[in-house]
Amino acid sequence: MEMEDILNHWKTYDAKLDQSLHLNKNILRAIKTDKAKSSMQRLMIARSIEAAIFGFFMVALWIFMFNRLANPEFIIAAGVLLVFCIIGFAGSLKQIVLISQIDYADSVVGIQKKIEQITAHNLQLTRLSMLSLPFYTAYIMIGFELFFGVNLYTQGNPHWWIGQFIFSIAMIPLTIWLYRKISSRNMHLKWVRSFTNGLGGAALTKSLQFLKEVEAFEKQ
Amino acid sequence: MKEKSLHDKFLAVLEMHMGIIYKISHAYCKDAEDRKDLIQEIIAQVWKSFPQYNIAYKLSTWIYRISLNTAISLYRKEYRRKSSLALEDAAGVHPNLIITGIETQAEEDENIRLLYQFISQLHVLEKALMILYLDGNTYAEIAEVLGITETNVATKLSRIKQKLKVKFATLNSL
Repeated sequence: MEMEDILNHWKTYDAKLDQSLHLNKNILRAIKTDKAKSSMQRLMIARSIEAAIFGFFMVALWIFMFNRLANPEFIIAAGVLLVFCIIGFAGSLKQIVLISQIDYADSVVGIQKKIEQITAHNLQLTRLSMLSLPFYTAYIMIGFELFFGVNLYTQGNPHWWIGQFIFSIAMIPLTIWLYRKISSRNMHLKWVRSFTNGLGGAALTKSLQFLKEVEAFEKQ
Repeated sequence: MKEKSLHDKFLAVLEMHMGIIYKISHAYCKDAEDRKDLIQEIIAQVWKSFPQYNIAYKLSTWIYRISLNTAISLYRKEYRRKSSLALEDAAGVHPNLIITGIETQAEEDENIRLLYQFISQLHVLEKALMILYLDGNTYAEIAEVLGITETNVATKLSRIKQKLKVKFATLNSL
């Protein structure tokens, strides 16, 4: 069968559909706009909660720092964590803007790319939290001060501090290596896929794969 | 009153473009129940976007975009039968009856059934391309709906048509 014949068959089929399809207006009249909840709205709520959590920690860290202006060790520890909170907060806000820009009436490739970029957000969060690994002592310091009223900087064993310092420095190259490796570009590596899957990112792997397919479709 | 008039316009638009919605749902869902749910989801998205309809676009282009984006998004999420529009709550009736008279048409014509079978084997974005082509859209219109260049449309269609030709030739030789 030639293409011309196929197109003619389709035309006939289309005409039959036009005649036979019937819209049940009674049901449609009952549609209420407020009943329509899209997955994008659910994502928007999730990202807003995420932004609120980052915002909460930002404020809490500011207060913590403000109340300990005489202790530079706490200012530095809280300051480092604050930087990560600000980056996380900015990331969540960017997501909220991206989600609000999703309009299904836009071009298919454009919208599908945006949707997959939104889905890939979890990977960015994972990478961000990974970057904070060498600064884990900051969490311990703030935790001890808040929950036990112990200033580890002044009261901690010097040997413990030297150990923490060496371990933190040693983690820097590992962190940089992991940060570079665990990215959307390296999803072809089995261990990267396993790592993100372990973080609940099986859907993420699929999303990134689809994003690649959409980009390939756009370019070819 | 304004809301009522908007709703009437929406119904008129929907009535004019039911075929597009039906064909897209058929191309993206093999299962009849999933298909009905997808139709419902597309209609919900059209309704949500309706107040923002941009007259710069042809109405059919607008419907194609919403229908395809909805179908592809749901298809990507390994669509489980859970629609976002609570029609049962809203109307007190089963939602699967929005568009009726739809389940016999595709099966009536063997060639159409084979064509749908062929489309179902294509990549998720190629399915969109094929439906747009079969519906008689120009390369420029297809490019506008999909957001790719006309040259790209031509290249991809040529490949798909080649595959289709081989498929029908193989079937005819059996």
